[in-house]
Amino acid sequence: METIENRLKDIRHDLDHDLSNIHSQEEFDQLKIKFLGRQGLINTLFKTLPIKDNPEIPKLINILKSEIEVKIDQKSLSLSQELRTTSIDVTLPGINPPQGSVHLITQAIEEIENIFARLGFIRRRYPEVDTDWYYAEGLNIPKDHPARDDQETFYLDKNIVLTAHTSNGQLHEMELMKHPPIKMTNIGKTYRRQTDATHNPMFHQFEGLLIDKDISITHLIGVTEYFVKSYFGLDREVRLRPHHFQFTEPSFEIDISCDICQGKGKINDKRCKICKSGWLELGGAGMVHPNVLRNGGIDPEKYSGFAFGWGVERVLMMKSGLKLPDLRQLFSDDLRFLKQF
Amino acid sequence: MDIKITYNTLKKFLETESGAEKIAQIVSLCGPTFDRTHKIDEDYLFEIEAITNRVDTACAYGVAREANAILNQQKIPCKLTENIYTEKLIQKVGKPNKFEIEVKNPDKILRFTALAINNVKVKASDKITSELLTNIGERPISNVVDITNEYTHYYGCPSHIFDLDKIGKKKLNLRQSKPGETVKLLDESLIELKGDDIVIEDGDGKLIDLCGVMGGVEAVVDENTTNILLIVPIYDPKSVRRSSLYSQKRSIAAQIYEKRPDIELALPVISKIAQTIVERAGGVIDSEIYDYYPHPNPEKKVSIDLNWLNKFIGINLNQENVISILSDLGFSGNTEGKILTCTVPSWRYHDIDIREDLAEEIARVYGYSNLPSILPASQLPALAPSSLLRYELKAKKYLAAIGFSEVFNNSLISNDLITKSTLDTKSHLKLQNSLSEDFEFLRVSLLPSLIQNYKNNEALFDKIRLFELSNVYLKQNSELPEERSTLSLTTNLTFRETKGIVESLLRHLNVKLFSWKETSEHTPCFSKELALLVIGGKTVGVVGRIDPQVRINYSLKTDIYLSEINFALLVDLISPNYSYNPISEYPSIIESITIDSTKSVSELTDAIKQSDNLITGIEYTESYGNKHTFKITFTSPLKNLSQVEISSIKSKILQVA
Repeated sequence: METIENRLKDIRHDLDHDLSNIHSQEEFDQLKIKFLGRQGLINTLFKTLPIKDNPEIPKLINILKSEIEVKIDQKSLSLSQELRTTSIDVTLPGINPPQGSVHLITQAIEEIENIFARLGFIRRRYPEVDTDWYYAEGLNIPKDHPARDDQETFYLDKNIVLTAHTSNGQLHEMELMKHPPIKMTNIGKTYRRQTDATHNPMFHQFEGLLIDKDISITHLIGVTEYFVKSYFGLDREVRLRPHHFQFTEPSFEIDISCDICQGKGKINDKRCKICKSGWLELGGAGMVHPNVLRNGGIDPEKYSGFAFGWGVERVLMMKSGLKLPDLRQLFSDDLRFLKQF
Repeated sequence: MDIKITYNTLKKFLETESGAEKIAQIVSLCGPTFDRTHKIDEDYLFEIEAITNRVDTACAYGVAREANAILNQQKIPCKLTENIYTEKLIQKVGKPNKFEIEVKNPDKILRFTALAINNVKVKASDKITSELLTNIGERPISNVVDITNEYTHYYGCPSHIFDLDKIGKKKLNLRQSKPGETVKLLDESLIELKGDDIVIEDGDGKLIDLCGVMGGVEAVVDENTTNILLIVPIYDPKSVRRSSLYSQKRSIAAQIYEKRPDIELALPVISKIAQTIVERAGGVIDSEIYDYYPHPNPEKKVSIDLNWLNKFIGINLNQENVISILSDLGFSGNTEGKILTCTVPSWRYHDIDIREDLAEEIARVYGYSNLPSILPASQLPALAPSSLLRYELKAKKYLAAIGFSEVFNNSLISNDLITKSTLDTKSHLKLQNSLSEDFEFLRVSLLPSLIQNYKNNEALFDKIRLFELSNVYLKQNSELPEERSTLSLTTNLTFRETKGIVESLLRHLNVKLFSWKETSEHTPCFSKELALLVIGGKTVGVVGRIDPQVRINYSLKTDIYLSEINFALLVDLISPNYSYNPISEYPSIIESITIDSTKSVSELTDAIKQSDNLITGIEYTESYGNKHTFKITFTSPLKNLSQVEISSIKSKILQVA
């Protein structure tokens, strides 16, 4: 009997010792299993002690069991208090998953595509390397036209160019669709023999083309304004100035009001350094020339349309206040640059 | 073409109370753009951009004409003060009796007018003229020469003065130059002609003019000159442009001639200049005006339907308003119902051809800013967008989300980069007129640049993950190259991690069935440690370790892993539909099995998969030598699996070794 009491005493002692060393839910759960589980110490007592010989023994074990249960319950309470208050330094930095980046140009293209998609313009991709017909002659630029000796175009051979604009997509789209309505944006890479702070030999343009019945200049203004207000902000104004391109008639240069001087051209009585008299050039646009419609198999007596071609990097630099000193930096591969966006 | 004119010069032709700034602002929106306006002393200087097809606005008179029409439309009082075309000539047109002219190249000389003046006194110009020329960026030379420059500035029709006594035998032969001939120009430069330039040779065989570009020194007017020959010619635009470009003499005259100035200006301008010379330098007119003008332009008419016009512009314009705009711009004509037939003025002869041209004139002077902004309510086009563009963006965003940074490299690369990455230069398309050696070839792979991108970041970061998704340009039998959307990755992760990234991307793009194949074929940039990605029996891409030689060529500090995928082909193989497998109501059982085999893990995996259809998952764990451990999931859609059933499948699995 003495040995039995000693065993019970050992368990009590064991329990107290264990309880005082518990600081987590996991340790607590293990302790419960150790004492009260199926293979636990209490059950082992029932299995190993001669309970049938001495009715006192199960009594003693049961007393011990309820003692343990009470202590465990108490511990459970105090532990949950303890766990609630125990704290790590929550200001330690989080452990981040690896973080990459989608390039700024991709982000700009997505935004542009989505703005025009809301107006029903469908994005296409047309060749960056194209024949003279789609690039120039079909766009009403004859073989001997002075516009051709500007020396900005890269040639693969006499008849194959790296497109310096996305307007080659116009004739491709007319051929694809065959009949209006035609509503497309062609966003792609373009190339010019230029490299300086505002030019990279490769850049991106987005071309818009809408051909349907009764399309007028007022529609070109509407779509331009929708884009400008969506992309740059509701406070920006649009204006059209007369210009000349071979493939549109009439042709326009489109300006948007400068955000730096709020379109005033002056900041504190000093000339704004960013713009020309309050306006920034967005790019060219115009009503599709009837010769171009004809070249695309569309009857200019039945249909009219407008087109524009603007620079992705240009609108990106104009919008974001990135203040990049050099456009070519957009094509940097430095992860310290790329990971900023 | 950028020109400068002063406010006072403009007011010489335009009577208006409007200030300089106001004119600049209003006219810019409807006509030539006034880029900047500067205050100078008692005057203003305008910097104006004359659009290439509107050479008629590259002079003060032309700008005044535009401003007059535009201000009138805005109800701002103004008036054009002269009509040069209707003024009386100072001398009648007839035969030259003091000089002789022979035109040997009639197809290049559109018009040639000339007049002799005797006993002029050459001296410096007065202060007003000198200041005007200085303000517009020209150098005053002498009273008579300055008059020609002043009048080019006024009317946009270039002229030239020779010392008549320096012209051998007082004879001018207009002809095409021969290759190798030389001419010394007024700026003392000696030009070796390429041939086929328009030149004037005098009676002694000396070249005295590179026509339309610059006069020659042989017959230059100097302080001793007394008798002069004044010419106002109109030359073939293409010839002048060519001579001017290759001789690199981009004179104002050349810039005007190449844009086809008004041929009807020659006579009135020569008369005005002669008159002014007599006024300022004395002298007497000593000949009738010689006028070579073999093919006068026939009258040109363009019709426009006002109903069409209103539809095209988008608002209803008042007919009287339309007519007054056209009339202010110099058009005349008549109306029949809604059809207007307009006679094109001589100064617009080359830029008004079709009704759209007239529509532009009307709309711009009416004012683009007066047009409403309307969103077109047109139907949706019938063809859906391509899925390639959508998947490109999806892939880019996914890769960025799992730690990759997107790079944009130039499509044009250098021979050096091609060689470093062991690609074949001959397989690349080469530019005929590259800007520099750095941008000379259209790339056939994104890896040459992407490895360089890695190299450029190597010293800065421990973990580097880069990708580019762009076109490559592959030679084909057809005229144009194939522009193939391609995805490439470079990382310094492990082989399996890199492969895992590609696999997770594939799953993200809903590609469920793909496999990897070993290959003995060499792939440029890659070592032998590479696997081919196969989908639907087609090789779509490759993942592997960098070729040791390429690593050396780029001086990389460690091995890196690369992947290049034919993204266009991949997108074609993407299943657009989602498939659904019902989830079994009965629990799965998962067991680890180790197989001792010399087969590859992928072969074992395939074989295990085939061994029983209750196997619903195979996950590779690890290998020790030939012992490969897999975690295998068994599920039945119909019942709880018993230990006996599992054991029998397991024994089947062990047979695949």
